[in-house]
Amino acid sequence: MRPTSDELIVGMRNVLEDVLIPELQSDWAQAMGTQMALMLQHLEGRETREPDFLAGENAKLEGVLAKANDALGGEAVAVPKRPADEGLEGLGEHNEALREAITSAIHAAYGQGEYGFNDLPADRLGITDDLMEIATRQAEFWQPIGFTYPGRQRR
Amino acid sequence: MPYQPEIRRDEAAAFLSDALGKPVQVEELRRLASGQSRETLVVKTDQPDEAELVFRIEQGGVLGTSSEPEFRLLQALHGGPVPVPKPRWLVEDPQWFGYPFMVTERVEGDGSFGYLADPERSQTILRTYIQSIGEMHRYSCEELGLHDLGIPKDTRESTLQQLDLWTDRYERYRYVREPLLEEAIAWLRRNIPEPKRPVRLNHGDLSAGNFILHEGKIMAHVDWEWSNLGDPMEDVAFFAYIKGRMFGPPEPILDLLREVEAFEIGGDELRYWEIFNYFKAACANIATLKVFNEGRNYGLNMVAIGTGGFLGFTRRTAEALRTASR
Repeated sequence: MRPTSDELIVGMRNVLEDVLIPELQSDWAQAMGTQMALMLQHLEGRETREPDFLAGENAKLEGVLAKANDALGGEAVAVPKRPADEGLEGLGEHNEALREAITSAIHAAYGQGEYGFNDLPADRLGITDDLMEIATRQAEFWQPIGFTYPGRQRR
Repeated sequence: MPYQPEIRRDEAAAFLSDALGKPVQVEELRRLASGQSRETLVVKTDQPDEAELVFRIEQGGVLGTSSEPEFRLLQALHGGPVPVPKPRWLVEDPQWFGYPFMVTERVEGDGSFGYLADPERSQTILRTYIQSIGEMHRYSCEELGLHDLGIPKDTRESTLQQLDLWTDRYERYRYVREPLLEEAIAWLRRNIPEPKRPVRLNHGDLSAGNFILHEGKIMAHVDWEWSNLGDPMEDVAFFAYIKGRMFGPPEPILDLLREVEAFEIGGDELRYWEIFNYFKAACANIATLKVFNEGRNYGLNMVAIGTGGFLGFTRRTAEALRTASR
């Protein structure tokens, strides 16, 4: 149906940026208006983007867990079952379970052998680069919402 | 809870009339646009003998803090060598603004930081601020009258307390586990530095904007909600690696701090506290997302902090851990 969700979102953002924000009087209101425009921008296409993103992240996490379990040998942690429901809810629950399992693997690695100040379990398991990449992709997903301070004025 | 100036004006007048026991009108009320954890209002009344007041209203647990410990600290510090605003009221009852709040007197001066655009002035103010940080850390907790706040026996105990506190906030506010952050928590617990110096007052959030400047002097340190009695290396690393970046890169700031602090700054200990502070910032940021999603605060800045801010500090924690290990 037209307009699509995205077309409506773009329209709202245009009105917000071109008509409403310039009329706002306080720093606070302007800061909120700007944040709202960024969020509308983020929402464009999210409906279709999110399931693919989560499925991709879950596949990555499964690979991380497999690698960690190989390194752990006899101390390998249980691998969560894939959900029957491949919708957003199921993907979210599986994501959570995979993260739990990887955290358990990190703790299990800390239980194996001696660790000095400079030793890290994720490095020993060989999963650091993968976890960093997952974190980077997460941050990219939230673009353009960023960590911004509204106009700073203090007493 | 929406911010609506006219409603806030009526609410502030109602509270002050009740607190002072006479009718009070609010002549001016403005909200400061900065500060994520509190809605901060500067209020001028029609009472000629009443100072301008600063209301700091909680935002439903944003950044994982409450007003009560901060108020008690201000009560203990006020009038002593570490300058702070005079505390007036701590109000837990949500009837006035929907959340607990505290009121202090406004300190003469300016807390804004437009000076950061002027490199020369910015460096002068940085030196003044760092001098005051050194002074803050020079006094014992007893000299500052903080004995009733529970002084940890050494910096190992205080560090463990801080770790427990921030880990608890992470557990309460997170949605999913972040394996990189979990690894950092385990590493921080295993590598707590041996006590080398006495427990001191930490501000916890040293930053441009968290002090009031007047005619080149620091009139007050404000925003004490992350304060603690602990290892002053926490403050040093926090300022150098996080908020001090508003003034410039960490190394020159660390050099200035070395001039004023009575302890050695560097080595594994400094690295430990750098990592700790990134972890702390990540935990504080994730709290904002929960309060937004539960409708306790719908400021849209909460979303930005809880997503971009949290992920950014999680990444910095993991990267700093790797720097330490190589």
